[in-house]
Amino acid sequence: MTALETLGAPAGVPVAAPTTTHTYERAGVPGSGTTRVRRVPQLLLRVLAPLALIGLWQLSDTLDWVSPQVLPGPMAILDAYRELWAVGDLQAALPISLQRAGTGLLVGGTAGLVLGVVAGLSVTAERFYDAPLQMLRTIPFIALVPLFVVWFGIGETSKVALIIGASIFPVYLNTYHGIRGIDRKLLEVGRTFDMSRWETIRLVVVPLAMPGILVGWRYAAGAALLGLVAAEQINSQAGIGYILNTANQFQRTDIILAGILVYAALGLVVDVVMRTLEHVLLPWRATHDGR
Amino acid sequence: MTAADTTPATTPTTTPTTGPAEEVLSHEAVLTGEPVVRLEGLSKSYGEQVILDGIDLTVGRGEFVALLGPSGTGKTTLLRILGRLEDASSGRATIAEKTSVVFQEPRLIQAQRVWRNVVLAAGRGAGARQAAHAALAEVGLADKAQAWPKTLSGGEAQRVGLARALFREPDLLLLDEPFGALDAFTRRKAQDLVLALWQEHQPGVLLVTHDVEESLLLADRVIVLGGGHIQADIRVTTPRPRDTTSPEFNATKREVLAHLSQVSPHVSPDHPAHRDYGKIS
Amino acid sequence: MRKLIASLFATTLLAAGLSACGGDADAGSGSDGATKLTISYQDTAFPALIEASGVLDGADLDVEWVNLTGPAANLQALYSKAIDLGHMGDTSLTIEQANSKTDWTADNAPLEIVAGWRNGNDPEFSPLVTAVRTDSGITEVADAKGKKWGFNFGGYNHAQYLVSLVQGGLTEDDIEPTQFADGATSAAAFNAGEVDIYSGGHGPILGALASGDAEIILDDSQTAIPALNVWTARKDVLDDEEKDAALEEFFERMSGYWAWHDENPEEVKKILVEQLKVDDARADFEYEVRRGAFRAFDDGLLAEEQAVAQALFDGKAIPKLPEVGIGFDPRYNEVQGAISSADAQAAQ
Repeated sequence: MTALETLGAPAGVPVAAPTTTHTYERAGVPGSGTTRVRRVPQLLLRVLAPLALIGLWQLSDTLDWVSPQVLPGPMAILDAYRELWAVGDLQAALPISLQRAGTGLLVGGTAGLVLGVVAGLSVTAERFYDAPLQMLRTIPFIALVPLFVVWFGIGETSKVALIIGASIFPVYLNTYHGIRGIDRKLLEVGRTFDMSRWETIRLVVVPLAMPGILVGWRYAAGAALLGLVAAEQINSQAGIGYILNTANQFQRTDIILAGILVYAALGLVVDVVMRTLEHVLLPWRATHDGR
Repeated sequence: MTAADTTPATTPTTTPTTGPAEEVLSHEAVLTGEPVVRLEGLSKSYGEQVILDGIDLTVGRGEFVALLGPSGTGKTTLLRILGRLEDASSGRATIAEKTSVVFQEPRLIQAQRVWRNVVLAAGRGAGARQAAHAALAEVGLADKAQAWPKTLSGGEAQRVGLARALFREPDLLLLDEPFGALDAFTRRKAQDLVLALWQEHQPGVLLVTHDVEESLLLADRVIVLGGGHIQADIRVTTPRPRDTTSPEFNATKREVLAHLSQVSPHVSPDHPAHRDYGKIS
Repeated sequence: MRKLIASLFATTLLAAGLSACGGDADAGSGSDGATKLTISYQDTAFPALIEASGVLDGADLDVEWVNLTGPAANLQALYSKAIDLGHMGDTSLTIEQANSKTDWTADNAPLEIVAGWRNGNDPEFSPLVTAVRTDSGITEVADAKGKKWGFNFGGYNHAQYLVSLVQGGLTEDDIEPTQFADGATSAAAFNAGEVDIYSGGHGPILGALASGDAEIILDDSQTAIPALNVWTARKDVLDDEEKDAALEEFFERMSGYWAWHDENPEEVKKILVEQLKVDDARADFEYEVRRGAFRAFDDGLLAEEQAVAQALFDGKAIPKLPEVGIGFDPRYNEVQGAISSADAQAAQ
């Protein structure tokens, strides 16, 4: 043990027998001194690469390597934001688009969750609707826009319905597989210890299927954001999809890129939210993965 | 084999093996008096394959019974029937209502903290948590109550499984090779723990094992299962703690091995290496 | 468990049901008793301009503006009764009629074009063009042999493409036809130099024309394509007396719009920039191309429309040759102050 301490093993390094410790340490685990030195350039690299890319991008614009029609430079995109902000489109777009995406995600995701849980638990339910759902899943929802106009009109309903359609399947599939992936032996535990079906679902099934369920919601959130572009083709006067569609109609490449960057930012937000959720909902996994 | 009249809810049966099973065993089990298990003509078959064939067995409260037999003789099936995880094909069974199982692998729910694994469905109040702490203290894991199962060692996890089983204060405790996956040292400690807990709580215990020495070390009765029948029912009267090197112990061991060799041709009663014959066959 | 499944399932169905109801545009009367018209336009600029012009102020009707891009969405919305008037090009209904399972007659036609408009026939602001990349070496259509020619299917862009081919004495076999899903994509491909020659809207390629990368070789007056914007109504809307009266008032008031447009170029351009996010050059162009007057559905116009249908039919863009007149209802021409093409030419 003393040998280890003098070598400066970082806390938490698993130590087995002292005899093997020395070789193990030299081979795999960097000393505490090197760790700090290494982490700095890594962080720098992380920031440096995108920065260099943006610089190169701006340079190619300034030096006219590519026409601004093909790829407008970063400054042009900043200008596009300024323009959208001045008119008020950007401020109007975010709340309305997020509300559409959020409502659709909530309804679609909940429906997918319920369908997935029921199909995961009941073979009868699975036989009843899994095949039709699998068929529906493969339909590109963008192709459904005209039909949704016929079915749901041109108001908010059709837009939200489209997003519901986009977000229902990721949650359904991942929930279903999450539950089916649970070891049957654990369900037997519930039976031998006289747990009711509901208690088994609450204490065993849902917690263990939660990682899959969260993956489903993560995908669904992405699908809901993408669904906005299709949904906001239908009679919209505001929204990120509306901005993109109008820009496409009037050849504003800079605004299209600006809109895409908004999507990227939203995707990042979704990722952060889901990571936080995972930390809150899956503490038992966090310990396992060592954060 | 004849119909008993103690439990009218169950159905009497006679046919041991021939023909498809018609009578489905009822689990409307009520503990009547001292026995925690009473099996009468219990049979189980999967299609044509007969696993258990007319088993008669009574286990009393406070009795420690070990069940030995080669792989595929229906030891685990019998345990699963007693644990209400499977239905028998015919016969009748009266089983204590409060029955707990400790499985071969710990079967802890990774998504629940240790104390919650102990409590399971038995209540959500503050009392449940305290009771869980007490049960964990009994298996020496009081400090692990808040831990996640993934952080436990194999022996610790199995002890949590034991705490979970004892938490319900069972009249019948079913142990399905619970020490199989443990190293020799941990295994020995776990055996001592089980023995101590059994003496403390006095449930009827049915231990399924491959290990003859283990069965003789722990049990009051060793039952040898073979060909779907009970081949031998041997009483072990040596007072505990038992000395595995004593002549008395080894005499009983030879007797058990002799019975085993009849149901499993690969086992020789004289070969010392055949202590754990299950892995050879 | 069964009960649980049943209740979960019921919840799901309920959620689906909730999202299914509501939403349809209310085709009835407005709150104050005025008749409500739900009118679509393919961008948000025209509604904003009409509002700014004030021509509808004090009208005894409520107009709800709807923004639907592309003819398909407009037709779907019409059929599903979500809107009363759909905005499209004058060829869309010809194509719709040609693709209809049942032959349209004056009695059973489900849709009717009730208004058509465009600017004067000034070649500089021709809405529809055939243009070439200057580096392609093409100076007239006949040179397009073996070249990549971009267009989008259906509509008058397609007609412009087909008529251009005929005028150059070419067939589709002589060139490399490059079909796109919509006009914007087709124009984007031309602007990027991916195709050598292009038939479609003038506005989307303005930049390439200004930079000298492209030039127009045929405008719509040369191909004799009317290239009107039209509003199409469903037959049952026209048969509804209240709606009919409301439409009459709407068009009568709209006839006053064009003068306001001509008199307020700065305000119009400002709105165009705001709504469409176009630059000043494009706004100047859009200002011009969005001027005009309603056009009368007279014999001259219908003959031109029939010729477009013929070109589409000959070019195999439509499966049968429709009688286009069935899809035009001139009942509002008078209140619209609609002028004939000849008069429009003369006014130029």
